[in-house]
Amino acid sequence: MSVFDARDIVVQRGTRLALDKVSFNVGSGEIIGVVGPNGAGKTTLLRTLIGLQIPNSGEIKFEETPQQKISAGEFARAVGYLPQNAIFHWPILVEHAVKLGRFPYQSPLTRATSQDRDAIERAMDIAGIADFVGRRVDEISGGERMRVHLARLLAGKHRAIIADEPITSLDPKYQLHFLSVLEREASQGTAVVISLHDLALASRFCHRLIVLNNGAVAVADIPERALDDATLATVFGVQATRLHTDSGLSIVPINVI
Amino acid sequence: MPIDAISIAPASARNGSGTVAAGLLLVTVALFFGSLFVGPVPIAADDVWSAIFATDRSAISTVIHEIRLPRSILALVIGASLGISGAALQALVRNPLAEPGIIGVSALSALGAVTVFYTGMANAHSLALPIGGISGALVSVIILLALAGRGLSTLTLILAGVAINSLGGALTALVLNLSPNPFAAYEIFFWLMGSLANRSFEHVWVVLPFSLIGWVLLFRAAHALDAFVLGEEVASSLGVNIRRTRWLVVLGSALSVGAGVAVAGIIGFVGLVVPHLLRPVVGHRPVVLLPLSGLGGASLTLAADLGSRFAVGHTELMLGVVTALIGAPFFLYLVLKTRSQLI
Repeated sequence: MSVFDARDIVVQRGTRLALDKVSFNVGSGEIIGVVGPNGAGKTTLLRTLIGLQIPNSGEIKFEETPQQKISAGEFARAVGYLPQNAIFHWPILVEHAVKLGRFPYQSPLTRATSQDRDAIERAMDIAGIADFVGRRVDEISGGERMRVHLARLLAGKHRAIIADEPITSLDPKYQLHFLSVLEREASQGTAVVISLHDLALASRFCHRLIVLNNGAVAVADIPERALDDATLATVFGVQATRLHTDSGLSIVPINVI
Repeated sequence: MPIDAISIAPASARNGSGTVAAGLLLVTVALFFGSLFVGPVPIAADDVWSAIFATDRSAISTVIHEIRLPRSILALVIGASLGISGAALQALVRNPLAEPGIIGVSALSALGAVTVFYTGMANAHSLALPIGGISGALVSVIILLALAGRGLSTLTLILAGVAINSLGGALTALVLNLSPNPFAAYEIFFWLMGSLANRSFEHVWVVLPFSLIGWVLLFRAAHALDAFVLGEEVASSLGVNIRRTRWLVVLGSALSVGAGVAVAGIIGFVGLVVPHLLRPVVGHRPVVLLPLSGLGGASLTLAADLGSRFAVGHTELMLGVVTALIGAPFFLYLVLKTRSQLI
């Protein structure tokens, strides 16, 4: 079953089109990478998927139902979102931050259930922050804070996850860690849509890539075909080398054309 | 209110909020009853106690029931309104410098009351003044809601509030300027400074319903405000209705604070300092901060009103002057101490 099915999405910004008739679908258990140069429309596409940006035309179906027909609470339980440059506005405790991931399941008058607690513990475990309990989010490093955001996202037990350039500020180890965690969630059926700047990691982890250029889909295919020499040259303006490793293909930009 | 305790939170964090809540409640109750013992008419402590529960019409009983009791109730209610709405507004805009005055409610409420002074209606009926004040607050709410209805961002809403605030101040100055009677201008000037002296139960009945409705609205937003710590977009993705939350906070603040300004003038800094002071104690979580700020605001206002009764020379101090004298330097100290954490 397709989790997201987007048809001819158009988003207008003033006189130019931020998204120009974008169509694609995402199946359960799939990791879809959204790549493209700065200003290509990656963030706009992800915001449209999560419902923060209303398209001027086109339709998005989530699990066969038009997005606008799904209640806010139901959609919040189904789909998790991690924005670009995610921040905490108050220095709350790490466990309280992760607990916010359970927000769609809670009402003002109910206490945390055992399901909530299990989900929070599991999420903190997977994100590698189980021993951060009792620390404030302003007392840990930026990379550690990103893992708190990851745990918050995982605590929601969503059927789909949308993450906007989540690994840009992480060191190599935790970039790989972050993507491995999403890979594991996907292997359990979660659909993942993630925008990335790092083509090497995108080709290594994503099942399919949507290459955006000036708001339009240049190509959408498996990484090997999506990032062929012609696309790399016309869309990104780079030459790349292909590394066939034991963990799969990695496409590494080498030269500016 | 869910003063909810997540099981994996360290015991200290949970008990911390509980202890502070119990402590604040005790302080509030103590200040409330303590304030019944202080006034220009000396009354022995024993007599105060018996007069509180007396139903006769003796002089002492009249002083307690008709002068001191309404004053203490007003301090309690107005202070709680300032604390709760300050905490809610700061959570809404995610900025520790927000306060009830910022959305323009205080300024337009004061303008409404001043207009009543100017037209001389204040002398015609004792309720004319509060009704003028609440009308002003409602006008500011209608303007803000009209703006909020257009789907403006919270920052735009706040900037609109600042503009309404300045306009209210300018129009108030205009009324003072045009006042034909220097005594009326003098009276307005003093009233603007904020005071709870010489208020009666009539004023309590004016403030109480609006405050209670305002508190209900604000507390209904508390749960959603917790998610605002992640920003409006993530809060929205977690199922929070951003626009509804904004309306609840703006309308709740306008009703509770507007009613307070209408009977007591402008009492500054309580809504700013109290949430700021209590926030670290409760782990910075709005859902816990709201009720505690209510207690903190009530305590601070009761204490400041108590302080204003100790005369300097032969004049009682104005409550707004006392809160500003305590609040402004203290806030400056907080800003300097925590400037690295701000913004």
